[in-house]
Formats: sequence, structure tokens, C-alpha cells
Amino acid sequence: MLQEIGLWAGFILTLMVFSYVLGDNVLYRLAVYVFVGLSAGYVAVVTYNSVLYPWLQSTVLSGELLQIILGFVPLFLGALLILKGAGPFGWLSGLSMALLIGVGAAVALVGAVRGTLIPLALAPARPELSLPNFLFGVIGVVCSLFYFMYIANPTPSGKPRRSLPVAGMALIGEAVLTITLGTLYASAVLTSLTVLTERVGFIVSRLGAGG
Amino acid sequence: MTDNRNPNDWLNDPQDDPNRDDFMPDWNLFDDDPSVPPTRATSEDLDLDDLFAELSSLDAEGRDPDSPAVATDEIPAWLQASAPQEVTPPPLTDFDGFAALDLDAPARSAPPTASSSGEGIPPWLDTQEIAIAPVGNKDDVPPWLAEADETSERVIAENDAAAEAFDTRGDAQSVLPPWLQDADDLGAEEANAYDASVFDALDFGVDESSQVFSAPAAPAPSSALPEWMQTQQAPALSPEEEALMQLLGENSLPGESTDPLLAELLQGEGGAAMPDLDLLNVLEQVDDPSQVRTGMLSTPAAPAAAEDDIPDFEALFAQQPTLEAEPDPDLGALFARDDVREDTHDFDALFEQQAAVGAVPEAEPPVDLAALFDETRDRFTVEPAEETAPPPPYTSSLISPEPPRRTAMSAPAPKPAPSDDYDSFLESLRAEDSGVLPPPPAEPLDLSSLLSDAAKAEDPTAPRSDAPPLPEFLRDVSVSDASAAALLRGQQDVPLEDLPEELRFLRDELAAVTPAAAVAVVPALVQPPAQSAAPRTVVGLTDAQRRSADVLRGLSVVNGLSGDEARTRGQATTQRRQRGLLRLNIGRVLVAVLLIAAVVAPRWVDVAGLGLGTPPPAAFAPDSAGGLAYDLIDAAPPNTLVLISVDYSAGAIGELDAVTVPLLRQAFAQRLRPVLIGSDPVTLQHVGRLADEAATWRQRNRHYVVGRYVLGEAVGTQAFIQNLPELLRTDIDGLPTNLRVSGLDEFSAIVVLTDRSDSVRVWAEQVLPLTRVPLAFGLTVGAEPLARPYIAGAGGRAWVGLRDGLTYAAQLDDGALIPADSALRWSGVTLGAVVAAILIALGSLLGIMQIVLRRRR
Repeated sequence: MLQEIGLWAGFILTLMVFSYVLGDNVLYRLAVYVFVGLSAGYVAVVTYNSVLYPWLQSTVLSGELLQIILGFVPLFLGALLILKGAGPFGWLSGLSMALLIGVGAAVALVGAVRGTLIPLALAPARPELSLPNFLFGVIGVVCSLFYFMYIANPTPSGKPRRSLPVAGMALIGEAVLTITLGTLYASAVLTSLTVLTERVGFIVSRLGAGG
Repeated sequence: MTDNRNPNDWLNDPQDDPNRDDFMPDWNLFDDDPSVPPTRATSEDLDLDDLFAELSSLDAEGRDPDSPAVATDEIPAWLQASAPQEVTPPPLTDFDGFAALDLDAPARSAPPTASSSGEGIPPWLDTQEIAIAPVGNKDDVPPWLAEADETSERVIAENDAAAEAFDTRGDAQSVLPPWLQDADDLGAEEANAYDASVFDALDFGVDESSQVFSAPAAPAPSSALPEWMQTQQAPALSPEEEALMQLLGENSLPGESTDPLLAELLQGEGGAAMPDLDLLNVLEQVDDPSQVRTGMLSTPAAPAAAEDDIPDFEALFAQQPTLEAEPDPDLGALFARDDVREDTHDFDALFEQQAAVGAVPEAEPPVDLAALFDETRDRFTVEPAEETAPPPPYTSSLISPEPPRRTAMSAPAPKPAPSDDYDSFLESLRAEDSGVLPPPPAEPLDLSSLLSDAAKAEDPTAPRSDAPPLPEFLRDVSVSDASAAALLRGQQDVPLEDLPEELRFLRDELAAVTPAAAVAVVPALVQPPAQSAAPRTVVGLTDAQRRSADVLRGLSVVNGLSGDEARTRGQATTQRRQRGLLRLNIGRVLVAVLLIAAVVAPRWVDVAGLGLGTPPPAAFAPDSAGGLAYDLIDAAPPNTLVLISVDYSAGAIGELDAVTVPLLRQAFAQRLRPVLIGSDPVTLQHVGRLADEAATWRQRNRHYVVGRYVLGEAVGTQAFIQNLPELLRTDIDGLPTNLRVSGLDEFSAIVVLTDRSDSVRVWAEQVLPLTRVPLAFGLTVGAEPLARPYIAGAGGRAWVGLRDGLTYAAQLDDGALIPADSALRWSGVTLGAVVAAILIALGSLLGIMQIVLRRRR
């Protein structure tokens, strides 16, 4: 019974979201607000149960002095973040922000070098790649970089103009970028159509079940 | 009075040579006792009769003949011999006379007087009893004084004649005190400009039929007045004169004001008399007479004498000592009128020299003619209610108990100046080396005309000039209650049609200038004074900012709409939306209807025969990404842990669930222990429910774990793999997982299910380099293109979208056919993709056509 109620509730909410086709209306907004509210509430509960409470239980509530001290460190840093809007003490939040940004930048930089730059630089040199694919990859990357090169020679009219080789390579790079973006757009459309078919199938099944 | 100096010493002493650079005139000719503090005379200790008696008792040099110093041997022989006979003093100027009063020491200077008798009059001043004695040594007498002597004799003769005429009327001659009888003599035209001019000019308004002085200070019957005072008909005062009389009435009684300067002011042109008005104002503010006598005019803020409302001579005489320090041109002018030869003793030149050496500027600041005019104009302000009333005859407060009333000014008729002395003296003060007065304006300041203008401005009946009328807010602009910012604020809400013509013109001019100028002007107007004193920086727009502003301005006039019209239309649209009226977007509805129809159509229409695309295969190709991923799970040892990171959002559930469900089925089929974590708690909870459905008889946290919510992207992922045992201690509900895991290497496989390529990048960057555990990815079609390089670097194992999901499910069923529902769904996706492609192509084509047509236009 509860499952049926849930399915019908999902059916109604789906129709309310689809009503946006007719324009922004209260039904669409209501469905969106319900989803956002439920998500936020659920995230809060999950965060407490899955993150905060386990942390407090293992540190502050463990009874061990070292663990207690360790448990108060993130709480202290979090309290400093709350002081960001506290006027004269707002600068204290900078300590927590500095820690977060510093650690995040360090982690991202190391990961980018190790997981992106080096593998992608070595990818065109893989022996299993054919020569056409290798050349296409290299030319596509180089021409795309030329497209973003904004160095040009001035003309008597004052309008800058690229040299012919650079302009040609930039044109090829523009074509590569256009194909890439078109592919991404088509992929996004396919994803959307997949989700749409799932929802339409759900509605049809509900209507069939109801009928 | 203790003056031990020879009256001629100041003429002969080289120390007093005015030509000396360090010359400081000794104005304090009547030194006080230093032990006696200087006090200002008040109404209690100052008697009118005493003052007049003292005034009459003074000699030409302002000395008291009763003083012992007069009888010393310092007096030259010719003066000693003639002292008793100096019965008729030379004409006392206002300065000399008042300087001789020495109000600081009234006890010593004021001789015993009686207003009704001549007891207080020195005998030598009694003209009826003392005969004129011949001057002994005429050689020692300066020529100018000799002439004055001759003049004295002539004046005495005339006075005698006047006294006889007065006696012939028989009007209570005995009632008049002797000093007043003498004062009558002083009213002769040649005798003194001091009394005659003032009393001639001032209109007492005394009715001759009932002239009774009511002032207690001088209780004398009207018959006691001299003839020249009784017969003096009050001339019809001009409005200026009346206003000036009122002005004087605020500080002293006009009828008792005996300042010849006032007479000059009333009779002469305003341009000549106005500086003296300022002089009087300065004198009003002098509080300490001692400072005045020493030439140190500090002009403290003294209470106005008018506030005392004491209609006596106190205020007037209290002011007069200040004249001691004033280099007023009257002195020279009056001496000049007395026919003093300039080659002997030119007082004008003397004062001019004194002013040149800076003695006078120390005593008084330079005269500000503009401020003088403003002050005079303010005092001449009349009340509009009284403008229509006829000017009442002026009555002195001595006569009438009613205070003097202000009268309206009519068109003034400036009288000619009696002399040019003031002008010449002012010119001398304006000399560059004197620095007493500021340089004259380019055009001579006609104070008379200014006064006339002021009177016309107050007179509604006066003809108006042709100049446009001032707006209302500019007619009354005062510093105290109006500022430029206030004016601007006041004009902001005024409708355009209500603005004056001038402001409307200025508004049009402002709109015509560039926006940068408008931006620069407005802040400058409202800039506070403190900031304006600082170095000014011009606020304006750069060229780039101006271009941006033009673009914004152009956006506001799209489709020919001005900014206001566009704003109005936007408000109307908002109102329609607020009324709940749906504004259908035909294009959007059409696209939505077509896509939904395409997706749903395969359920009722067989589209397989259209040859649109190919259905998903029943099994993965061996070297395909899906096949590699499948093989990874299929090769995982039983009872090992498989880490599945659910990183896709709820919006991707419809697509990625097609991968997640077969994955769980395979894991359970391989007797693996899936450990689910995720960055989206909603999706993680959803996948946990799918795991519960796929687990059948298996139990959570024993055969599978729905782990905790991992947040923080790269940092969170790094923290997770660094602190894996701690973070896997509890599940998503906070329950213990009973897992004993020390690191990633204890997992047989890692599968990342995501709809974002960034998640693939994070796992490829943060996890892949740190472990040897193979990774597989389950992606949406939209995330796959950008994630492909990372997938390739991670072994190329991935399931992508619904298609691979359907194949994955079919392969788990040992190569069975795809279910009919799944086939229809895939057909719907295929048909929908075709329709979407057609719509996109049509839209692109229409866009190109619009561009071409626009360029052709």
C-alpha cells in the first residue's frame, strides 16, 4: 500500500514538473520546492548520522584525552567559520578558510599533475594508436591551442589581424572545438532523452496500472 | 586727568614724528590711574547733564581746565595767558569731544554739575560772565590757532546775538541752564558741526505745542529748549533716513545721537557715509573702553545696547570712547571745514601717514564694504505688513513711551554729499602701502544705488526689472537652512512642468552633455565640504565604461523602446505573471510535445522497421569498455570487497540505474561484498534500496554495506582513502558496518558510478595513482566524452548509458534477449533522438536564415 502511495505520489510530482512545458507555474515550483526541501532535510540527517555523530563518538565521546583534543580541532575550526559574519571577529574565519583552501589546492595540484597532465601527455604516444589517430589528436590539440592565442599584428586600420598560418591553425582548432562541443551537446541530449523515456514509461505504466 | 605733556610736544617731539617707522600714536592722552580698573560707564554712574557739562568744560585739546596739569609751567606762556579767556572752545569734533570724556574715570573727569543750574559750569566757560582777554604773546601761537582764535571771537559775537534774540522771546530763559544756553550758542552754523549737524538732521518729532521731555534723565520743560531746537521743524525724512533712525534707535536714542557722522550719513550720499556705519558697528562690540583707548580693538561680542532698552545716552557715549582710536576721516574733514590751513597742520595727512605705518590696521580690521552693505541692508529690512501703512511721524523715546517703530522705505532720494572728504580719505586708506582698506572694485560701488535696489526689492510697488524672476527656492537662500545638496534634493521630486524656465534649461543642457560629464557633475554637487577641501579627483567614465554604458543603453531601447517604455512593459509583464496568467511559449510546447510523442510512440507504433539505429547487443564485445568492466567484476574473487562509489545525482537515476542494478546483481552473483559509498546522500540511499532489493536473502552490514556519505570532492576523496578504516566504521544510518579494512588494496575492484566527468577525474587523480586496484566506471552518455581520457588511463573499463545497461542486464541473463519493455524504451530513446536531431537542425537552419536575412537588410 505504501509503495502504491509512493508510486502515485511520484506520478503526480512528475506531472507537476512536466507542467513547466506550459510555463513557470505554481505546480512546477511546488514540486521543485518539495524535492529541494526533502533533499536538504535528508542531507542534514545523513550528515549528522553519517559524519558528525560517528566523529563525535570516536573522538570527543571516546573518553581518551588525545582523541578528545583531536575531536575539538575540527569543531574549533568550524566555529571560526561561523564567526565570518561576526563583525570584528570575522577575520578569525580566515584561519579555517586558509586551511581549507591551502589543503584543497595542494591536493588538487598533486592530483592534476599525477592523474591528468602526465597521463594525457603520454596518451598520444601509446603504441596501440594508429598514425592517423595520433596525428589527428596532436593536430587537434595544437590547433585548439592556437585558437585561444590572442597575439596578432596591428593593421593600418587599427584592427588586429592574425598571420595566415596562425589564422589557419586557429580555424582548424575552432572546427575541432565545435565538433567537441556538438558532441557534448548531443550526449547531453541523449542523457536527457534517456531520463525522459524512463519518466514517460513510468507515467504510462502508472496510467496503465490505474486503468 | 594727569597729562604732563605740552600740547605742542606732539608736534615738536621727534619721538612723535609720524614719519618715523616706529611711530605709534599715543591715543591715550588721558592716562588713567593704573590702580583703577577700567570700567564701562553705565546708566547709573553716567549722567546726561554731567556729560554735557564735561563736554562743555573741555578745551580744544580735550583737557579739563580744572586739572592741575593745566596750570603747570608746561603750558606755554601764550596759552597760560589766554587760558581763562578761552571761553569759547574751538569747535569740538565728535572725536575730540568724546575722547575728552574719559569715561573710565568718571569720578575724576566729571565735574559737579546740575542740570538745572549752572553751578557745575566752570567760570571760564560761562560766556556771559567772562570777558575775552587778549592773547598775550601772539608770536608763540601757531597760525592756525591764531585763526581759530579769531574764529572764536567771531563766534562769540554771533552767540551773543543769538542769546539776545532768545531772550527777546522771553521763553523761560531762566529755566535753561547756563550750559544749555551755551549749547544754544553752539548751534550756530559756523560753531560746530558736532551739534548742529546732528540735531538738524535728527528729527525729534517734537510737537512744539506740547513739548515735554518725559525722560527722567533730562527733565526739562519744552520751553527750556533753545530756539533753534524748538523752531527746528522736523524735516520730512526719507525712508532711508527713517530706517536709519530706527537702526540707531536699536542701539541708542536717535534723538540723542549727536554723532556728526550720522548727520553726514543722513545728509550725504551713502557711498560716503557707509564706512562710518561699519565703524559704529565695531564700536558697538567694544566692551572694554580701555582697550579702545589703547588702540587695541578686540571687538568682543558685547550685548547689544538696544537689548537694555534704556533710552539714554549710555549706549551712545559708551561707544564714543572708541572713537579715540579711530582714524576716522571726520577729524581731518572737520578741521578742514574749520579752515585750518593744510600747510601748517594737515590732520588728514597725519592720519594717512599713521595708517600707512600700520598703526590703524592693528586697531581695526580692514573695512569690508560688502559686509558693510549686507549688514546695512539687513538692518533696513522692513516688515511687509507695515509697508502699506503710512510712515508715522518719528517720535523719540524720550518724548513718547512707545518704542520707535520701524517704518517702510519708499523710493529714496539720495542727497548730495556735503563734502568729498570721506572719499578722499577712503582713497588714502586704500593705498597699497596702507593696507587698511581692500582695493576698490573695478567699478565704483554705488552704495546709494544698492540701497535703492534693496528698498525696491522690499517694495512691492517698485517697478521690477526685466530680468526673469528668481525661483522661489533661490529667493531666500541663507547659509543656515539651505545648502546646495538640500536644493538638489528639493528639486528632485519637482515635476518637470513645475520647474522654472532656468532650471528646465539647465536640465536640458545637462542632458546634452556626455554621460561622463553628468556622472562627474552630480557627485561634485553633493560632495561634502570636508571632502571638497581634499585634493579633488575627477569622477568619470573611461572609454570602455562609456561603451559599456552605450551597450546597456542600447539594450534598453531594443525594438524601439526607450528605457521608460521597456521598464513599463516589464512591469506589465510582471503584473500579468503575478495574476497567474500563463504565457505559453509555443516553441517550447511544440518541442516538448514532439519529443514526448517520439518517446512514447514506440509503445503503439512499430518503429523497428524504420531502421533507426541498432538495438543494444545482448552481450559486450570482448575488448569493449563494457566488456572489460564486466570481466573485472566477473573475475573478482568471491567474498571480497567491491567498492562502489555512487556519485551521480537523482537526475541521472533514470539512466544510471540501468547500470547499477546489473552491477549489484553481478556482485551478489559472484558472492562479492559490495561496499557502497557516495557523494550524494539521496542517490546513495536510493542505491541502498536497490541493493536491498537485489540482495534477496543477504543482510545489510553483513553481506553488503551502505556506507557513509563522502563529501568534499578531491579533498573528501583523498581523506576517505587515507582514513578508510575509520570512515567505513559506520554506515549511512550511523550503524556499525563491522568491516575490518585497513586500505584500498583489500578491495578487489573499485567502481565509480557518476554523471559528471569531474568525478572520474577526481578518482583518476586521487585514487588511481595510490592503488593497484582496478577501476571501472559507470557513466551517463553526457559525461562520457570528457571522461574518456581518464577512463582510458584507468584501463578503459566503463559502462556508458542505457545502452550498456541493457546489454549488461542481458549478459547477466546469459545472453537472453533484452526485455520487451527495455527494447521499447530504447526505441523511444532512438526515435526521440532522431526527432531531437531534426529539431536541432531546423532550429539551426532558421537561425542561419535569420542571420542571412538580417545581413541583407
